Amino acid sequence: MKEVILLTSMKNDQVAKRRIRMVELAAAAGCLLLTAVFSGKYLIMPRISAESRATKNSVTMQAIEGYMIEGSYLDRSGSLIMGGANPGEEAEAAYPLNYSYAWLLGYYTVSSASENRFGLRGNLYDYTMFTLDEHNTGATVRLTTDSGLQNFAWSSILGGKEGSVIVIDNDSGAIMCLASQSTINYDVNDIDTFLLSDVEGSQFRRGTYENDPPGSTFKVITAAAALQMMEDEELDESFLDYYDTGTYVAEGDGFEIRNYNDYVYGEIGLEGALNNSVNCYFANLGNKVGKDRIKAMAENFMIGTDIEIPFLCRVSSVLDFGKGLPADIAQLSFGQGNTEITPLHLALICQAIANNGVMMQPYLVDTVKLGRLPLYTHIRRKLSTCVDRNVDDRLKTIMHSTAVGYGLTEDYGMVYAKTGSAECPDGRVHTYLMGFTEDASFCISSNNSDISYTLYGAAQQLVAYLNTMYGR
Amino acid sequence: MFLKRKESPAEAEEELFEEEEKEETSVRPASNESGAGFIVIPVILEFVLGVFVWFTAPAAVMTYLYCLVPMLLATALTGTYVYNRDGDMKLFAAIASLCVIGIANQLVIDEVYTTFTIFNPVKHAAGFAVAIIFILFYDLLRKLLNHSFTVYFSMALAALVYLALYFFGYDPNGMGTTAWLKVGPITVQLTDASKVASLLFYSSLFASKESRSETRVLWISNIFFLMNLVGSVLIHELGSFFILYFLHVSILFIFMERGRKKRMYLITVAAVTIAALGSCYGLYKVLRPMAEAGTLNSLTSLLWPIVRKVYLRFSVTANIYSDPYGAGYQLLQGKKALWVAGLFGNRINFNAIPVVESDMAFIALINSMGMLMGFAVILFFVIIMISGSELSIKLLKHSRADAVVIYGVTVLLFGQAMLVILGSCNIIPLAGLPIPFLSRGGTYQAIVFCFCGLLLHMSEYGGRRYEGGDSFDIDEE
Repeated sequence: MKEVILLTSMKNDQVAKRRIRMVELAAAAGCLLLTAVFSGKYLIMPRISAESRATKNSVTMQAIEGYMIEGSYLDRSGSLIMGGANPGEEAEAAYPLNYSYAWLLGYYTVSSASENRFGLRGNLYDYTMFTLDEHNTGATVRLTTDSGLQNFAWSSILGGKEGSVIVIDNDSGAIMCLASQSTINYDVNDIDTFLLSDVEGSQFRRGTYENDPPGSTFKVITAAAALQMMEDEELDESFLDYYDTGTYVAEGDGFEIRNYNDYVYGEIGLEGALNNSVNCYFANLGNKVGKDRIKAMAENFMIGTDIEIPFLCRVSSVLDFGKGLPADIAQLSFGQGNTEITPLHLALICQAIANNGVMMQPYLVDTVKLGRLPLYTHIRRKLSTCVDRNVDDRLKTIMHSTAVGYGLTEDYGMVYAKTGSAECPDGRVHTYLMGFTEDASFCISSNNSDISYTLYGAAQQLVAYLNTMYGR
Repeated sequence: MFLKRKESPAEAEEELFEEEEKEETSVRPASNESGAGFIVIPVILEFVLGVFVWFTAPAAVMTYLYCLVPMLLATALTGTYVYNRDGDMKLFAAIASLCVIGIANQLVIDEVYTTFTIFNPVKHAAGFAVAIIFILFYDLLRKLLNHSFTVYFSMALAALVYLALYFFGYDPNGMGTTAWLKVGPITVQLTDASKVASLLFYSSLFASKESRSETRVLWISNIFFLMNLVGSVLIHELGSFFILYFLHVSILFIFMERGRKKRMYLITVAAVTIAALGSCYGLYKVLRPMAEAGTLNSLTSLLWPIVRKVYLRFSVTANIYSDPYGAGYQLLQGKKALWVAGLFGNRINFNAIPVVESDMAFIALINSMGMLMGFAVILFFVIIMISGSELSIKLLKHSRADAVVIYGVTVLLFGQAMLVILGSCNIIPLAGLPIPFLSRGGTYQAIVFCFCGLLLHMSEYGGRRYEGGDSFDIDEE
């Protein structure tokens, strides 16, 4: 009898054992599921879903809005651009910084459904609002800009006119100034001013978002490609000679390319052609150099490749040869067609030429610090070696004589420049003046002036300011 | 080939044991191989958490350093020289890790959040000492489990606990729950004693020499269960009853003989639970106008706080925004804390979590130290659950009483941890209970240490500590 009871007991134990294992498995699976759900909901989804990130940031903002002090923005010398608010209040910038920096600083707002962000504040909120020190103050952002230059560019050079002014340090790629003026007068202290206009494109930051044909500024690329070809194939100077009749018709095409104001230049070389921005010369030169070499040179200057400005935006451009026919190459060689570029990229092309052919990554944020703890420090990075030294020197020579023609004489020190006019698809004309001094490169763009010589005076003012700033 | 030798019961038993032995040796490595390396985990964690406390709550780092030396000694010396007799080192590592996480969490909580009390390391150490004494005397206590009077003794003990709390109970938090008893300067949460009584009760019920029919087991266990329910209602402490409910159901489900009556009983319990919750909903709607008008009679005034509490807990879980500044406030703040936590803890100084030192300790841990630490805690609790369950299976061969005690301890530790963790994350209704290791509460932590000590004690010698010496006996008929 005892044996029977023992066996029954053993069977009961077997049942108990199976059930313990069953509960064990269910509990472990439940915990695994809990971990997976938490990871998904709170860690992974905010990184991959905009809505989930908005929810997270909205919760965070609600939790801190009563005591958070937004981190300050300083310029390169440590002067305050924006910040110093009381707990729970919006950070503000003093006049005229609230206008001159508005398009750079932008804004950040969030609701449970969506985030609205623009500019540095829109991209740095994780540091300046959601990483707080013991005093509930966000991290401090030090920019590479010079507030004096920024204010000067915004008030004196743009002066309310739609366009942009960009200045980049030749050696480092640091953006010293990125002033913009749109169809709206954006005040960073009042977000409503950003939303006032319903004009398409009014909320674009001129300088980094405005992709238009490069116009005659592209002639520098064509010239560089030709000089590189001469260097590589050991061609003599006659390669650059051309007899201009005032018109050029590409092979297999009926379209007649003309010079500005129908000027005829006769016998002309590269330097003279660049000084006078002779369309026919460059249309012919482009076809002599060929699509492959122009394409390679444009790509060396990062045209067609997105360039990232950390925490600000990605600057895009388009390199388009159409069907690659002689007519298409001719159009592109003097900067028309479907190729598109931004004013900042033009300044960057100048930076590369000024920096012995080496293009540096442009950057605006130098450091982000929480108290003394560095959270981010920019490390200088080379983007591309665009041209070799000999070509670079020759480009400088012809760009300098071009600059002198714009009134940027030796009185301004050594200045190198080239203008351009972009014929936009909507019939508007944008004008550019890109150039560089021994210290900094720049691009001034004006959205509604159809003649680039109107920018000469602005360039002279800017160069004079830069020379003073750099102590020349 | 169709002929099969008839086995005697003794042979069959032997065969079953052999099969189990084979199964265990094939699945598990020799225990001396699974060894001491696991001690490294809590030791590393102790140092890592020191750095974490330094960054999160610099003012608490000195207290942490004071605790670090005994923690290191306890972990390294106990693990190496005391608990090394073929013990379950994974279980040891999980318990030691949770201890250190709990201490670090409490120190951070005191510095970062607003709390009613301050964490007292001495009180914590006292709980540890109580556990050591408990284990030293456990052999004596264990002998009681095989006696049938222990069943009735446990029932009497539980009844006494509830009566004492009903007449002399003390409510230090002003939440309407009289679960504490004040004896001079010492305040003891006496409801924890009902958990110990329950362990003794169920263990004795399934292991004592007195043979009981299925019906009798159900009757006795049901009386005990209802006694706990009535006691909990009287002292307005449904949280403890919540965990005792799970203990009751799981022990019956696992250890009671298979049969129709058991099935019917468990189904009935489930149905009654659902009906009770439905009744609470209906009663809330009926009693609310009366409560607002102040016209509750003696019966309804006893029911109203319970009904209201249950209704609010469920309604808030269903919709956290139904009462964001009232009943839902604590959970809403907890939800915010989960959102802002990130992998390594929040960086926005968010600290507005009510009752953070107790119910919301897991949320505080995630908020301060990040999701990664939260996941580690869940992992350690799972290890305790698996080790406890496996130990219970091993013990079934030698002593059903030990198996029930160990399984009960596992349910009380893991079950309570998960109930409160899930509740504080608003996945299930929140029960106002402390989380083992993570929450504050001298009495409860002492009980937790006793339970953990018991798990470690019984798991030594590969779970064969009492093999042959004091095993389950069957009376001859």
